[in-house]
Amino acid sequence: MRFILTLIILIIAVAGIQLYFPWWSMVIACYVIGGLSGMRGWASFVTGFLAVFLLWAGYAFYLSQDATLPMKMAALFNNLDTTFGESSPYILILATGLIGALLGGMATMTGSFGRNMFRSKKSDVAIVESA
Amino acid sequence: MRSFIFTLCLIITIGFTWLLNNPIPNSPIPPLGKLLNPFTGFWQNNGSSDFVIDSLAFKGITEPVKVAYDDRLVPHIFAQNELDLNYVQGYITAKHRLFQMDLITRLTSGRLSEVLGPKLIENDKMERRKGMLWAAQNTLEGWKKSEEDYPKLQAYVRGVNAYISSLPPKDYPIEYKLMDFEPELWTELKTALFSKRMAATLSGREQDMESTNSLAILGRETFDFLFPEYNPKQSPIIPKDTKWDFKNPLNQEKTESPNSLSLAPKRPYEVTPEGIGSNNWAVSGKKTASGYPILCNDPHLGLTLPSIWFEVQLHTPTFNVYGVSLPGMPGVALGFNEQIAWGFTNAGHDVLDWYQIDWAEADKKSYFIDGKIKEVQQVIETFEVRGLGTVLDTVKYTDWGPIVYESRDSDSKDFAMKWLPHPDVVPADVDELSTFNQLNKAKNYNDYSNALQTYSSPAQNIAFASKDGDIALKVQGLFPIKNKEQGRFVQDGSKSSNDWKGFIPKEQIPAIKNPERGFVASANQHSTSPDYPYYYNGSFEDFRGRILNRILSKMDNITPEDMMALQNNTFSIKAEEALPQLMKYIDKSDLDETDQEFYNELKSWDYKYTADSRSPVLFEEFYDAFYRNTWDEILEYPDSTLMFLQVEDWRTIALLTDQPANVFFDNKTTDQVETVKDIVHQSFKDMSNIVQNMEVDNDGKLEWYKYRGAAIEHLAKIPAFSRQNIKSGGCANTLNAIRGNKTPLGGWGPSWRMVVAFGKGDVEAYGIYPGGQSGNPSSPYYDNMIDDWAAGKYYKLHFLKSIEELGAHTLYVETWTPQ
Repeated sequence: MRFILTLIILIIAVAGIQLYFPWWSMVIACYVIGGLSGMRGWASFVTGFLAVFLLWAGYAFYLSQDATLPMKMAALFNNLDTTFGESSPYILILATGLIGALLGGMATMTGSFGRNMFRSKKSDVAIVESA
Repeated sequence: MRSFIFTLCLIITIGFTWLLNNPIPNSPIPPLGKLLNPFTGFWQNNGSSDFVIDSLAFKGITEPVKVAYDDRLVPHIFAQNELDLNYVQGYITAKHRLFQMDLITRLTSGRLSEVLGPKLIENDKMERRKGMLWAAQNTLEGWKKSEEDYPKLQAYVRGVNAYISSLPPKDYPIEYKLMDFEPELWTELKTALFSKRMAATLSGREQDMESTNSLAILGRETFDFLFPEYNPKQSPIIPKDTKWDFKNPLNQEKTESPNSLSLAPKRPYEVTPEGIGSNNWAVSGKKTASGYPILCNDPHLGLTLPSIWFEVQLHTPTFNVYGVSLPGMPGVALGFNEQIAWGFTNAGHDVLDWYQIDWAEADKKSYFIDGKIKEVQQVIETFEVRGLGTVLDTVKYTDWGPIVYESRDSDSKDFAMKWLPHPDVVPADVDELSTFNQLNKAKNYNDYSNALQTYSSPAQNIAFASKDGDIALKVQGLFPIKNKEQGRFVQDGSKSSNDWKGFIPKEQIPAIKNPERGFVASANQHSTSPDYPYYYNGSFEDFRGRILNRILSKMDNITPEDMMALQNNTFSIKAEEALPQLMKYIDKSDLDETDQEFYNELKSWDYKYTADSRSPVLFEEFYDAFYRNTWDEILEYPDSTLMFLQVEDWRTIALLTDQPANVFFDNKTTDQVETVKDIVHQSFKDMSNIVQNMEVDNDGKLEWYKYRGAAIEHLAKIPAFSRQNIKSGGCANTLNAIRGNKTPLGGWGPSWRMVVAFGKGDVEAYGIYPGGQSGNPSSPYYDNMIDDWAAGKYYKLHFLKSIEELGAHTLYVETWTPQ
């Protein structure tokens, strides 16, 4: 439950902040939400990873309804002939998702670790029990 | 433990973020976080709107403006006054071509290293040393004095900046994202830089170094034999029998022979290739089916994406003009209005000379002129190099101009460059901005003539036709008055007598109006025959002008379609002249089966460089082999430090035709003494070998267009944004002059084709260029016209009297209201 909630909040927060601030502001959003989420360690990484992956890859996919530019960009990176085939843009969408996801996961996890540093062991137990 | 893990994660996260946001040194990969994120990265450029959104309020205009985009994204701008017109033209041009405008002006002002790093420092230094920025600053000072034209320039600049200021990072053109820098505001100086770039491309060519060395090494007799200045077969722009009613005030003494000077050094930059030029012509009503004149122009420039040209229509209640504009400069550069049409081709007169400096001291800060010592003026050029910091370069200026390249070696000589656009050369009263403005509004021959008064550089053959029946051509520009052969070689800078003697008075420059023969035409050939009273040298094409004049003089009842066919003509006079002379020396008894096949094919060839034909390939390889075998002794000279002239094709063919027994027709690298027969036959065999190998590599299908290779490359040479192997006929010396990009400095060709036909009713015009109106690679208008252009097609140009007239061809209408 916490996972789904955090996931949704992450997606909204990152999208929101990226609309108005430079792209790397998403790191800050992930860090903060990671801290507030109360999730820990790998769980927060996975949540952050998934959230940004869905957001970035999804938005990129949405923006490439007309595949002209993505195909040219893919050719640029892969040194392929632009007529290689329609699969090319998907590689780029995947790369976009992965890069954002890795960073988002790291940032979220860092945030959760940061928060955890200020908690005592006793309150950990309390949170686990109430989850 | 926790704090350790936390710190580790923090460091990794921050490190990773930093890595994704900053360029990796020495890697072409841009920061991936910036580039790939879908909110501000390249994804945003996909399908970004080609139009301004519906109606927008603008502070910069005073009255409403309407812009109708037609189905090729050509904007038809209808404004109520000229300032609004220029403002909107600036905004719209920037919207579609911002990166192009930015890159070209950065290149010209030596500011590429500012955004692209240290690898471009040497390029930047060279542009400043050549005086490009200096010339542009001076041009701008001149423009500021014009009460008529300066406000229009200012309005244009405001328009460009209104667009740039409105641009959020997510909408930066994709090249900025790939190269990781940002657009900056436009300035009036940048417009001046753009005009100097054109001057450099078109009037910066000379062969002084090569000629000096060739003369010194070969001796006068051989030099004159191999490199005569005038080709007797030339069909000059101003016909041969024209009478000149003035005399040259100079006594045409020969220049001091430069034997006292040392060999010239290597030119420190590449000159534009030979033959970069264009075609234009106008036929009078005498020769047309309609009884009214037709004007045609196809300027030949480097083919790039986006194209150097941007099509536009400009309309106010007082004037209406259509044509192509230069992105960065207001107005229409080549085009027509309801009364007149005009077109440009390059006049190859040499206006760039090198002067050897006689240093007075070893520190090279003072030099001799006429026995007196003068101090150089030292100017420090500053470069803010990305990733490096401030870099300085000291440029020394002499009375002749800047020392473009200073040698480190005390034995080598240094040369100053005297070039027409430099502020110390060009007079203060020239103003090409005014020329374009006046041409846009001209109504008749007198207006055209007046418009040209302030035009100086680059010198152009400007053709003209008017609805009321006039056709004319002026070789317009400032031409230095020189002694015979002056400027052909590097000169001694210690004598002021070696300077130019002034400029040819405007009324004495070659011009022609309504000639008997019913047409005017130019294709970069000589302006005049040698009986013109003034001496001039330069680069002049030998074949296109002849085929043009030959065909035009025979034509009658001309229609616009005839003119389009003529612009696409691929007949080569070089082949017509050379091939029969070569074929007759081939020993038919010594041909194997494949040789025989090639022989027969060449024998029946029609001298046309058709796109998918193999015959032009055979001829080119045959002629090239013959050229190499003949001129082996000349070709061995040029190397990495020594520049040398190449014998021209016309001279080679003339010798082959008239002096086949000449000693040059012997390959000095072989022990035996050959005759022309041996050389030609051997060349044929060489060709056969080469071609057979090529056919193996090409699956047996050799086609001219693939062999020539013509690509239309993105300005930053990004392959995915370029188009390769354009399927079109033509070669450098045919009217459809397309030169392949496998040669140094890349390919070029007709960057715009225009046919303007006057008639009893409204003027009708047809045009096309190899590219698209939009500079955005994701736009359907990025390269949409290339295939049609390659196929020789034309579009009917919509020269509107009102927006409504566009009808079904309307893509979108924008309404701009003043805020």
